[in-house]
Amino acid sequence: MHSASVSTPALRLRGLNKRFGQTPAVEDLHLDVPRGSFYGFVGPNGAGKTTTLSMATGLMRPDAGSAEVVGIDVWVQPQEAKGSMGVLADGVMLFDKLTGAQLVTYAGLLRGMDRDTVESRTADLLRVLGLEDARGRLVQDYSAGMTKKIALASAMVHAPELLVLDEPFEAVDPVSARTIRGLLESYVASGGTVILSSHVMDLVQRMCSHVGIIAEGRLLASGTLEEVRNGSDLEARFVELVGLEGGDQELEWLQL
Amino acid sequence: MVAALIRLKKDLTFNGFNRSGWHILGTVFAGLYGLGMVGMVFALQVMEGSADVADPEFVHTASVLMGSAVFLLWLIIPVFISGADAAMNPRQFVTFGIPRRGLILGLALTGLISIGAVLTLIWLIGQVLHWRWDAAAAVTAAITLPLLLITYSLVSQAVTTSISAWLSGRRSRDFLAVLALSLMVLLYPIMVGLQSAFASLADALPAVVNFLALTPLGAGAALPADAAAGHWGSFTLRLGILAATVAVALVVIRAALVKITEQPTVPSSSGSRSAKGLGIFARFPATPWGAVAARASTYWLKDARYGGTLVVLPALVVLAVVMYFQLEAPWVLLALGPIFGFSLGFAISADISYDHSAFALHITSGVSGMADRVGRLVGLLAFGLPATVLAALIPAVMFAEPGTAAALVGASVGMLLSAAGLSCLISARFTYPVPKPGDGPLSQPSGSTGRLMIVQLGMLIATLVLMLPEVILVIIWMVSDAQWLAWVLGIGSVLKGLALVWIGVHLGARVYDRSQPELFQQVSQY
Repeated sequence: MHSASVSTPALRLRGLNKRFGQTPAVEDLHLDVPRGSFYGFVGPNGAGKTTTLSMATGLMRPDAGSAEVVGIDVWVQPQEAKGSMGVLADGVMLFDKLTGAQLVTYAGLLRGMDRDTVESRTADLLRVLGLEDARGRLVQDYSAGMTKKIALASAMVHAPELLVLDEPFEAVDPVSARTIRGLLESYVASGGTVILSSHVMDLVQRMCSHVGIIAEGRLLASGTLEEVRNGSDLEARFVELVGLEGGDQELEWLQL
Repeated sequence: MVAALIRLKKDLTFNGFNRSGWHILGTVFAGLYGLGMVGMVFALQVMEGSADVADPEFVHTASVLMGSAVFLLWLIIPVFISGADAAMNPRQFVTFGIPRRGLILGLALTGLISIGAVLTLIWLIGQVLHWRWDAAAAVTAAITLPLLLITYSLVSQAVTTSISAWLSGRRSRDFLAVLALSLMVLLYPIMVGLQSAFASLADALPAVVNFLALTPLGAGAALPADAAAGHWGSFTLRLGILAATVAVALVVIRAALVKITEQPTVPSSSGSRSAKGLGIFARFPATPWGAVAARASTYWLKDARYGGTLVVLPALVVLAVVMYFQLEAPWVLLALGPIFGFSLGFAISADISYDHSAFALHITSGVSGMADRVGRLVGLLAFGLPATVLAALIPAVMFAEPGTAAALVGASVGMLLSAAGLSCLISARFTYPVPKPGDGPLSQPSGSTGRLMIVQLGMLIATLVLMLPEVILVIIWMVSDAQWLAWVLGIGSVLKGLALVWIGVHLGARVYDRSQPELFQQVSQY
């Protein structure tokens, strides 16, 4: 589709900066997500994960820096860059007065796809994600897991080269999580690239080939899982980098 | 416990002010408006209560009518803002295990920390002055002042708590809000109907007042009159009515709290029917703008916030028909077309605000400003254009000559297009807070009422300016009585509307393309 060479990263963030008033949210963040990688973006709450991903997907304008999707700058050629990217944003609502099938169809048609392709892909996605029975129900009546799955389907319907998923496993039951995981793994195996944010270390350790650790708006470590882990457990490494809060103090009055 | 609840309400109120300057501005405006209204009433009360002019019959009538109106306001307002005062929603206190007695008292007292309560207090003090020409009446008014205030608060709390307990479902709340809205629009026909039952308004008044004074609505306000006239029998009766009202309110609050705390309902997920096909999506072209139009049309049918606008229009038709038979003036029916055009055209002025953060899908999909603007416009015009044409054409055919009919239909359609064109720009450039997705059409948007008022005022002024050519043409037409001017007006209005739509869509699309992320950050905070 694009003439960018294979060595161009699927997502390249250069010197991203964002302040909210006086508080810096993201500071001089550089990040490369290689093609075909399954990238885990981890960090404590409020570390700047969502802010970073919002700047990469066009939802928030960075104060400085650039974001490139397969070599195309998101802020210079937004239409072209967004065409290669599928996004599942965290904490945003869906058009939940549509039925599941309508929502995925809507996402496909917004991308300018033709009706037949949208129709067959919608059917496929709903089948794979186990939402066939719920295709005619309003999204507002979906459970949390079903909502994440339908949002994921909307993000994938145009077969993007890069999937940016902000907290795809939050509030998702184990069965749905397994379905989502299976779908993402086969997508990566077929050459797609995924970057997902999470704070469940265990999950990232099992799924991802690459990891980036962010805290207080700065990228503390990035690279392949092995490099970042450096021989130890990802969670231990994470705590080592980010630091413990409150130490190991105990509450005396909570000893029953 | 009661003190803690009152402190909580105080903190919540003041923290709300910290959020934005707009919020303070809105509250100050609302307060000033209320104060102005109550100030006028207060001045009348003071004037009418002076011993040399006091007319016992008039003071009695005025007291009961005002008292009933105040009671009604305390009763109805909670229905409208059931979503807004969520902070003191009894549901929030379920997990704390607060003794019920303390909770009831606390909720009733916190209801008194509001602009409405302050205004009511001013009115009640006015009542004492109103009756100052008779010692017994004035003393009664003074003694019943706290009693009435507590009664209002309890009744209001009973309504809020019952809504929370038994009507917490989205559908019943929407239904309630739409019902209240229709009732407001239909108040005039109802009054007319009541009035026609009597020979004239003056004849009806004593009967109405006597009736109201025997209901909870007016019983409290009628007490001083009994004291003044020495009717201690009916005084006791009214006191009994008031006591019964308080007792019923308490029982209702108690029952509702039992329902909330002891049988909490889990929102059911099996509410919706399952639809087979893709609905309206199959009928619009398979393009980005076609998809936006299909989505917009679906929301017109399914989202109560849009539905609220649609319900008012038929109610307006009923109102106009009643007024026509009452006044025998066809102009009320002829006005329907332009009113439809105006209301429908502005119905999309907050379209992106209504999307809330779901608007993210448009941004991440790279929808162009043009597709977004055109889609939303087509979604509206698909039904708005036929509705406006019908609303203008039917009365015009009944009452007017062909020339006038053409002018009316043209002006109505022109109105719709002009307003819609303006909306295309406003919804991208000047967003304002609206009820959140899932809330009722009348629930108050959170915060920044000030911005809402200023944008809507600006919108109104812009419309007036944009409609100036039509107004001038109408005046020339009326003066010169030349039929051909009617055709100029009709056709010119439509052409001007089309031009405004073109400009609005292009400017709106440019703003949209330039400032998508800012737009998104703004609307997802409403």
